[in-house]
Amino acid sequence: MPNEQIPTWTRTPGTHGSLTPLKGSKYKLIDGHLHVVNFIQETPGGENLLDHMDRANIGKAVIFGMPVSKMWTSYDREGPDYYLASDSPCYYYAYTDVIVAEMVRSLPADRQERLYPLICGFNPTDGYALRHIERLFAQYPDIWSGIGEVLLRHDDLTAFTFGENARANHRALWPVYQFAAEHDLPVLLHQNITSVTKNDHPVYLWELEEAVAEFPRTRIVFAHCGMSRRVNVPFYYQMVDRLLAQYPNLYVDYSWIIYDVVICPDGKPSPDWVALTEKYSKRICLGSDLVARFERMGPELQRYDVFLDQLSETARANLCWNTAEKLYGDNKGKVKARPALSVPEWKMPVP
Amino acid sequence: MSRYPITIDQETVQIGSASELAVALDVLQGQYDRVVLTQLQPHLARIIPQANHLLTVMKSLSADDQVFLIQALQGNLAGIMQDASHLRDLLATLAEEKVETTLLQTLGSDGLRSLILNAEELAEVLEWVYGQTDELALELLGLDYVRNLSREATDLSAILHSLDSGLQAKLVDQLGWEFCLGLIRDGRDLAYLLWALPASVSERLLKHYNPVQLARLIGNSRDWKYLYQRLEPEEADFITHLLGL
Repeated sequence: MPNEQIPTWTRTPGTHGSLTPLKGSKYKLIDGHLHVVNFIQETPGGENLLDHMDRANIGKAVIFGMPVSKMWTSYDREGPDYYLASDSPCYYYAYTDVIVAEMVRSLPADRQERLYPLICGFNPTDGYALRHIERLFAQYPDIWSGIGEVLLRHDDLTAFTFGENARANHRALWPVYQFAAEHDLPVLLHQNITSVTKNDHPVYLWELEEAVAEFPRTRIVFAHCGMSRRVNVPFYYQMVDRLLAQYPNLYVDYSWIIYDVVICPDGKPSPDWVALTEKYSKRICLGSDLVARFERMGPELQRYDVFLDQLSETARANLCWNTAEKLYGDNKGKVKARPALSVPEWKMPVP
Repeated sequence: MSRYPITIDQETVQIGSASELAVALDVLQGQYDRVVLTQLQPHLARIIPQANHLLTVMKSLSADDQVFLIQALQGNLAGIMQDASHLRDLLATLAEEKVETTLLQTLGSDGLRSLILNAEELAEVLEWVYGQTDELALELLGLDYVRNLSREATDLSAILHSLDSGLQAKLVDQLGWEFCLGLIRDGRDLAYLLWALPASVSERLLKHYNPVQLARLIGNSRDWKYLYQRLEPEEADFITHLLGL
């Protein structure tokens, strides 16, 4: 969730100012990670979104609401507009999915096709989480393309959120992953790889791996490769490389601060990440991770150009479009149970 | 949404909202802020129709350009601010006295009076300005307006709380002792005012009462305790001596 750490949100002395970034990437792409509702459940709306997508050369977008809502408590004189704007807590807000669904449904059919909405408004520690997802699919059967962004390990936000700490291997998510497997739905997860003061090793990575390993038929998308504000570890690309090699059902998105911190630090693409991206481009999406600030889509996605320029045409096409289109687009409005895995009948071998 | 063009280095984009303007200023790295504002000047009131929009753009500007923007909005400013809470929030984010001064002067007496409708709102606005800017706000509102806002001792106490001690004494003098004493109906009212005032001004206030008047005003042991717990040591000594306790 971009904040002042992103270069496009700050001013860099010595950098020549230009209006060019407002026009977005020179490559037409799918924004694979976009919150269309903010932390107080407000949205500028579908027309505003599509208007800014057009202005920023964005063909399609994977969109979702915000599963938690920031409280305006009695001690907040000003209403907080971001989860870090005050010490007030956050709570799960299921209606966010209805806001997204109604926003999409209010658009003409040809414009709806440019949006791939996901369901996110459930408590990932609630054994009834799947009931919410089933209700939403029943209520808006032609809308959804998947599940996410499920907010799990999320440093300050975890601390601010009422209830048990959400995590990728929480047993309440097992039925959700199973449902996703049975309906061929991708599940986008925000799971920090570590805690804020444990920057020497990824203390929460095993939680993700347990879920990914337990549900090999579920396509899990690891949002911004598990990086978050103040959350980093050594050997990052080796770790992502290993994960992608080990788990064929795992996908990642490059969004938010992972790009500026390790993929393209100081605006210079890392050769290691270029090589990794070439290797796994069919499992990598690009996204802005903006929170309902659509006017910033152009600069946010234009900053990827210097990295995209380094890729082969095939890898670039995968990152910009093909991976997200296949991952999310194939499901839109077609959610139905797929045939169960055919398991050969068990017979005890006769000695 | 109506959009208006800006052109920098032969490149043109259309700007229709405060958030679009803010991101344009960001990608221009602050090198063309005044140029952009000047190009959009005739349309700024339409691009920035509400207080939160103004806040969004102000955050992207240097102090000099904040002054320019405020002056460019001129007569629209009070309408943009909508109410005193938005004025308070904007003042809270401004770090340069000249910007705060320009904001108040541009709003003017009529603009400030249209926003600040009670003593609590005035106190919250004064909380975010200091020294001469406090004085400017009070001057623009006018003493009669401040008297109208001060309907009870708690009102005047709230306003005084937001001022430095020098200006507290000056305001009390300007409002007049007769007016200030008229707000004190019991021991609690007296407590509210003594609590807000520095000891030197508190003593001047107490000298308007003889021991009998003061004892009648306080009236009972519960209010005396309430009052005494809120006094500074010098005030406590003075009032105890005055009452012969």
